[in-house]
Amino acid sequence: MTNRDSDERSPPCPACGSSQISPLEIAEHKRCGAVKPLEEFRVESGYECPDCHLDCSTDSLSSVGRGSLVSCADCGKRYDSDVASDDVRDRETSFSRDSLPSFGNGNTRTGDRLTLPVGGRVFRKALTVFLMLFIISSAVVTAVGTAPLLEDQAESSGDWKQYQSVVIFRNDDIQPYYRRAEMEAVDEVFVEEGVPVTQGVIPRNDNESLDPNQQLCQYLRDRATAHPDLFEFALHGYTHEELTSFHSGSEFGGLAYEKQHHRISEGTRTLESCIGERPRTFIPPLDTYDNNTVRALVEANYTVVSGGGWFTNQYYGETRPFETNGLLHVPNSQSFVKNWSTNEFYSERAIERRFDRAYQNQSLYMQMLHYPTFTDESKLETLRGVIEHMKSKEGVRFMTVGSFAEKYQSGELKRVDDGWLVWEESDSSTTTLSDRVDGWMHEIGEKVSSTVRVTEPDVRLLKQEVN
Amino acid sequence: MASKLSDAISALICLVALIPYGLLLGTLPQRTFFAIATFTVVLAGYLLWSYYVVEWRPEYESVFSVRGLAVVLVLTAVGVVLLKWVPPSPVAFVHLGALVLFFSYWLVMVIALYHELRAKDEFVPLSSPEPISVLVPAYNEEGYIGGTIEALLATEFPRDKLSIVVVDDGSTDETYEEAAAYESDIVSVVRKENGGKYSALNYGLLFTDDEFIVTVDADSVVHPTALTEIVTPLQTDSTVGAVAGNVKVSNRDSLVTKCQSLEYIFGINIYRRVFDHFGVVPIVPGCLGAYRRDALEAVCAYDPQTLTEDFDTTVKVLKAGYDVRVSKAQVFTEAPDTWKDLYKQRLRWYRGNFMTFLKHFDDLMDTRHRMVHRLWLPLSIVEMFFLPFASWVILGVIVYLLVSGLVAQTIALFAFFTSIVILINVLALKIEGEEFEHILYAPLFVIGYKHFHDAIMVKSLIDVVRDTDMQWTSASRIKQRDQSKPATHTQPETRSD
Repeated sequence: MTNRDSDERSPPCPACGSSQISPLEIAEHKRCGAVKPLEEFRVESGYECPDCHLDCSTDSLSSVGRGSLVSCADCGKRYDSDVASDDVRDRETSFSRDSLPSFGNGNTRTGDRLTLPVGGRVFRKALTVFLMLFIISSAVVTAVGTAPLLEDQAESSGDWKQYQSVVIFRNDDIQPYYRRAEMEAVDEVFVEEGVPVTQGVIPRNDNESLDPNQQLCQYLRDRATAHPDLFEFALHGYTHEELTSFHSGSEFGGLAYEKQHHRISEGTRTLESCIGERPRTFIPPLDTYDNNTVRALVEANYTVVSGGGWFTNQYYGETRPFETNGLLHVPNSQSFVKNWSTNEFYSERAIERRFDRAYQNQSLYMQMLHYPTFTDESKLETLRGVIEHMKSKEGVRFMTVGSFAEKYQSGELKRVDDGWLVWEESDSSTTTLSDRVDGWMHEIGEKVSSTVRVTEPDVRLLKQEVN
Repeated sequence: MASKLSDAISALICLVALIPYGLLLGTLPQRTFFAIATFTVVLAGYLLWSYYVVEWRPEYESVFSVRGLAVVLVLTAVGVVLLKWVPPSPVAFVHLGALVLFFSYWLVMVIALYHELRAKDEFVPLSSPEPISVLVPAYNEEGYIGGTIEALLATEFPRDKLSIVVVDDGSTDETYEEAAAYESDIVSVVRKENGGKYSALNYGLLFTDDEFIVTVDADSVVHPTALTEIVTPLQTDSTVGAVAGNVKVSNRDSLVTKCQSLEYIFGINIYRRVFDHFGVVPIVPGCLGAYRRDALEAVCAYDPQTLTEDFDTTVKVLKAGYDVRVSKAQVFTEAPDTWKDLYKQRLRWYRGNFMTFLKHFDDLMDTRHRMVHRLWLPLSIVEMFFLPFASWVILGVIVYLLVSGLVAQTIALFAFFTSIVILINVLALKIEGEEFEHILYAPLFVIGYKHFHDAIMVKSLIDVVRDTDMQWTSASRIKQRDQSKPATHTQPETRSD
């Protein structure tokens, strides 16, 4: 088996000093990777792997040892008896490869390589195609922006948009038989400009309630039908009389709850029959109301009341939108009229400056107007000029009082550090993932800053706007 | 006192990490939050049940195992779709899965910290350790093998109980001569025909008699205390079959090597600690590992069927019922210093990982494999088959944002997720006592470096599925590259990368 005389050529065992040294042949079963002395592969019938027990007579065994491998018969130590030298690499292994049944290529590295435990070529190809398609489709689906990575509203289609300022126009004192031409002219400005407006309708005037069949109701219904997104009709008191001296005069403030409740109920019923739908917004005449008003409004299922900013500051200490007793309060910011005796307007520039301050402060800006005061074309031009000025600014969202309240209360409108986030229902394919991320990131920023920010007193903002 | 302060800081890091998590939760739509919470409850229930079964009631080992978990997860997925919490789209579930995993990172941090606190005094070195044999397989390691042997000889392990066997796997350079210069009563050098690392290791085992076997790559340098530390768990706890060393990058002088350094620190100090907590560390690295000889012989040592013999052998040891643990024993190795070399190295690793996973999948579905079945298997499925694809989906979103011109928002989004990765890595660096400047490279683990690896992993999976003829791909060596020697071989067989 061996061609080497160990007694002559091998030094004594370095471990025990024994001279009982035998040449050592080491083989590898390439199929399973077992590396053993060749003796361990030998069986009576030939060769068998001691690890996997396969017959190696016809299978591949490789001689893997190099150098002068020996083993000590006394202590069992195995070692290479060669001493490293310049020619050590040129030496051949000491045993004959012919003694082994069959030798594979000694450079075959991994032997029998692993294959998938199931399936054949077709299965592998199908799996490969599936993987490829999955990767490509994932990229495509993501790229077109339908990936819900930053999904905010799983069911409804729409996106968060950010605005610097929200603007609301509130047109008070809508009533029959009074300056109809001015009313229509003002309305036409809003239609032409495409800007929504909340119309405060007085349901009873001069002891006469609105009649659904009268011209005004027909006109209002026609407007609502033709421009459903532009006109909101709010209850503007009941008779618009100054019944108390509450905060310099009020129709409601200071009255007993029962009386207020009666006036609101009657007014609501009247207006509902006039315009064909129940109002949800209440505008108190003279911009004043009290907690009994709020209680009666909640009882009548109103969602929002819009009084004067100066009044809410005095009565509630708030000038921004706020909620108390189950009702949202959205105070107005500015009137067109400077002198109520002469109906003189503030200059267009003065109104624009007030809007600009609110815009800089990312505030809600509610512009109050009274259509009867628009008695000439120049005043209509002032209104147009103000609207154009507002539209020239980026990030301005026009709303009605009612739509503001609806979004605010449903969580679809949020005040953030640098403006407003509004959930916009998508009416086209223009909404993008980027808009979602925009809103999402502002929410994050808002939450971060809200933990460290000292809230600015509302009064300060009011002073800025008044000045 | 200082130790307690350090522990307190580590705990603080875990708590600070809750802030970005809380912010993320607050911004999620309510429906998504409900879906995440539902899946989290299911997974938490599974983990608690698994721990209870494995530790206390093994008679229930077949109840609510991985198969049961799969069924429950599918039912949960159907449920959240019916409740309209999640749209019925595959990409939506990729997103949801990524979020669930993202939140689970915090639990990983807590377990890692708990492990660090608990494991400090778990294994005490024997005053008179048992003899050990160190196997050093080498193929064309000229310029490296000498340093490896010298480092082994310089360890604090008693010389009279140390035996080093260098196996020259048919090198075509001067590896054998360099190693043979150290031959002594302790160091023996044997040669064989080139056959691969598994073959060299199996060959080397024939020349050792000791009960405890340490394997060290021929390009690696062990710390003076490494041998003592790595064999201590084996010599003090008979349930431990193998121990993994703590691999560190020695050449931290470029972007690619610094990224790898952080990757190793994180992988070992955070990820592997979680597995160690349950005794199911998945890989005993070739750079430095230790085995109980009985465990190796019980599994027929190293197999030729995969490209990652270390992963394959570790899984076999786990399947044999032994615990596999980690050690603080440090070994320094040269990391690939070019992206091309890193690609070659990882291509082999990931191909081998998939091959090994597929090789053992059927066996690991057996519930008798306890935590290997209940923890290691599902986590491996997620890591190897889900994350590489999920990360590309998320990258698609990022690219889309950039193309849309939302650079600032993209940066904000990036910073948000990076903050989590940074905090986790800060904890890892602190536990390991490494320099915090590594954190500079943490953002690349959110985008860039991570996707480089995920791309290789996807390619590796496709290669394995297609049954491509995969060659052993290894990185070139810095010292050997500089010698500008003509190539005399085409198949580097036992490269220890």
